[in-house]
Amino acid sequence: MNSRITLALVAMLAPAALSAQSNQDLQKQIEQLKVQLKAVEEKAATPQEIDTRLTKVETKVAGDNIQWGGELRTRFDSTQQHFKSYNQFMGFMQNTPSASNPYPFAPIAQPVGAQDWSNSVQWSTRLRLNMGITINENAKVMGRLVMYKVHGGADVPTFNGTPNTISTSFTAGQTPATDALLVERASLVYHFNSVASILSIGRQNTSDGPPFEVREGGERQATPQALAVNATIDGIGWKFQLDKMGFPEGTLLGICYGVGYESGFGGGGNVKSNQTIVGMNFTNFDGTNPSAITPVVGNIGPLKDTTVLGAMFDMPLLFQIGESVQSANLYLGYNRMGNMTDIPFGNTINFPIPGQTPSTQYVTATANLGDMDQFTATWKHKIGDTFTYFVSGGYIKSHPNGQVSQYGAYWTMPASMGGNTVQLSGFGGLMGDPAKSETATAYYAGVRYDPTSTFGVGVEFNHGSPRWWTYTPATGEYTDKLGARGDVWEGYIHWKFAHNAAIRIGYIDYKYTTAMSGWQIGPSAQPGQNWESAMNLSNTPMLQYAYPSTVKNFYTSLEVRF
Amino acid sequence: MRNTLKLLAVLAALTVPLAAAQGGSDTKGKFFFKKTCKSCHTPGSAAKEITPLSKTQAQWKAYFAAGKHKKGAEKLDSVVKPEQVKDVQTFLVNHASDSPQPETCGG
Repeated sequence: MNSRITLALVAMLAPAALSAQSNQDLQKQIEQLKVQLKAVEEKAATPQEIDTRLTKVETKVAGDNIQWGGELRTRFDSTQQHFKSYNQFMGFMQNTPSASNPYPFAPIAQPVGAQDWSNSVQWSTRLRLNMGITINENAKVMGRLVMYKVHGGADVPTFNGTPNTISTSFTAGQTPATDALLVERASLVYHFNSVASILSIGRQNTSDGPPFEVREGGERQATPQALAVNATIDGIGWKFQLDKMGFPEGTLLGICYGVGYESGFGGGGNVKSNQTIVGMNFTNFDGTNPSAITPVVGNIGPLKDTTVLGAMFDMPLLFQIGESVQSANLYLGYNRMGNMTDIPFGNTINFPIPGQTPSTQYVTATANLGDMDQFTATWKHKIGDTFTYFVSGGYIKSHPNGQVSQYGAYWTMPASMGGNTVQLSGFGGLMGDPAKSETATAYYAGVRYDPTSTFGVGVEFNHGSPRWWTYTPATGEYTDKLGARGDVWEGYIHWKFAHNAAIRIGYIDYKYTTAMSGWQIGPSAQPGQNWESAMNLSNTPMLQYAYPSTVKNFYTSLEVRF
Repeated sequence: MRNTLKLLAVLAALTVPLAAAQGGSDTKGKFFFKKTCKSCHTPGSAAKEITPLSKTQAQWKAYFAAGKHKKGAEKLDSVVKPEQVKDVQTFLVNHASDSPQPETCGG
C-alpha cells in the first residue's frame, strides 16, 4: 500500500520535479542565448560603424591629395680668396698722337696687383618645399618651391664678373637670392601604360642631378647629370621604360626639349635690324688723317630662341656577389644647344660707375653666337650600404657663327700691327672664339664611406679644362663647383644625428687656372697670343673683372628633412 | 689640403667602432624585395602591386611586427627568408609614402 502511494506520489511529483529542473535548464539556456544574441547584435553593428569610419577616412584622404615634404638648411660659410695680378681694361682716353702712339685714342689698362679677400662669416638659409599632387593613377603634378637667402644679403647682387651675380630664372634655388619663394620645379608627370613611358611637361627636375645624391646622402633628384646641367630648365621630357625589351628594371631611354632663351615674348623679338658702335677701326689711319678712322659697327637684330634638344640613357643595376648586394648606375647624356646667346634675361647691380649711384641694371641677350654639343657619362657603384664611388666625364664642342656679344669693346689694329680686330674687353664669342670650333673637357670623381647608416665621410675631385663650361652658374662663390676651369677638391662629413636631421661639415678647395669660369663666352686672344695663355690667371691677363685663382671655403650646415 | 685629407681619414677610422648593428640593409632590402616580393606583387596581378609607397612608415612597421602574409593566412618568414626580413623592412620603411625619400621600387 505504502509503496503504491509512494509510487503514485512519485508519479505525481516527478513531472513537476522534472519540469522544475527543465525550467532551470531552460532558463539558463535562455539566459545564455540572450547573451549570445546580444553579442551577435553587437557584431552586426560593428561593420556599420567601421563603414562609417572608413567613409570618413576615405573622404578626408580624398580631399588631401597634395603631399608635402621638404628640407630646411641653415649653413655657415667662411671663405678666403686670392687674386693674382692682372691688367684691368678701363676704357679709352684721348691721346695726343706721338711717335710711340700715333692714334688720337689710347686704351686705358691699369695693372692690378695680387690681393686677398676674405668673407669669414656668412650665414644662409634655404627652404625647399616638395609637393606632389595626385590627379589620378597615371597623372601627377610635381613641384618644388625654394627660398635661398644669405642672411643680410642683397636681393639683387652686384655684378663682379661671375655669372652667378646676375639673377636669372635659371638659377632659382641654386644661388642665394631673395627671400621670395621661387618655383624651381613644376611639371605634369604622366605615366603611359600602352607605351611604357613617362612624359613630363613644365619646369623640369634639372638641378642636383647624379651623382650629387652621393654627397647629399639621399636619392637621385634630377634627370640630367650634374656635370651637364645644374640649373632650372623649362621644357618637355619623354622617357621610355625599356624593361620589357630585356633591359634591367628601371632602364630608361629619353628625349627632352627645352627653351633657354625666348626671343619673342619679352625678348625684343620685333626689334628691327639695328646697328651700334662697338669700337674704332684704325686700319687706314697713318697719324695724319683722322678722317680715316671709322667706327666698328655691331649689328643688333631679331634674335632666335635658344633651344636645347637632348637624349639620355639611364640603366640601374642591382646584383648580388656572394653575400654582398651591390647597386650600380650608368648614365649617358647628350645635349645640342642651338642658337646660344651671350647673357639671358636677368638683373644685376652694375656698380661702381664713376659719378653714378648704384642701380639695378637689366641685361638681356644681344646676339646668337652659335650652337654647342655636350656629352656626359657617369658611372656610380654602391657596394653594400657602406661604400660608394663614382666617376663622371664631360665633353663640349662649340659651333660658332662668327657673332660676338655686344657687351664689349673692339679695336681694329692697323695693318702694321696685324690688322686684326682686337677685343680689348667684354664677353666675345662662344668659348672665346667666334670663328673657330673649340672643345673642352671635364671629369668628376668621388668616394663616400658610410660605416653606419647615420654617418658618412666623402672626398670629391673635379677638373675642368681652360675653356670648360657647363650649364650651371659657377665660380667659387658658394655655388656649384663643376663649372670650374681648374681643380676643385671637396671633403665632407655627414652625420644624421637624429631622425631626419643631419649636420654637415665640409671644406672646398678651388684652384682656378683660367679666367671666366661659368661663362660659355669669352674675349678672344690678343694678336699673336694663344687664348689659353692669354686667359691664364698666372700670366697677368687683360680682364675687365677680377677672377680668383684660389678659393678656400669651409662650411657647416644643419639640415632637416620632413 | 693634405692635412685636410689626413683629418678626414682619421675621422673615418674613428667611426669604424661605431659600425654596430643599425638594423637591416637598405640596399639588400631593395634587392630581396625585387627578387621575392615583386615576383608576385606586380601591376595587374592577383596579388596587387606593392611598392614602398603602398604604406606609411608606421604601417610597414606594424605589418612586419605582425609577421603575417596573405592577410594572415601564412607567416611572413615562410615567403621571405628570415634573415632577409629585416633588410626588406628597412628598405620599405626608408622609402615609405611619408618618408623623406619616398620612391617606387622601379626607380
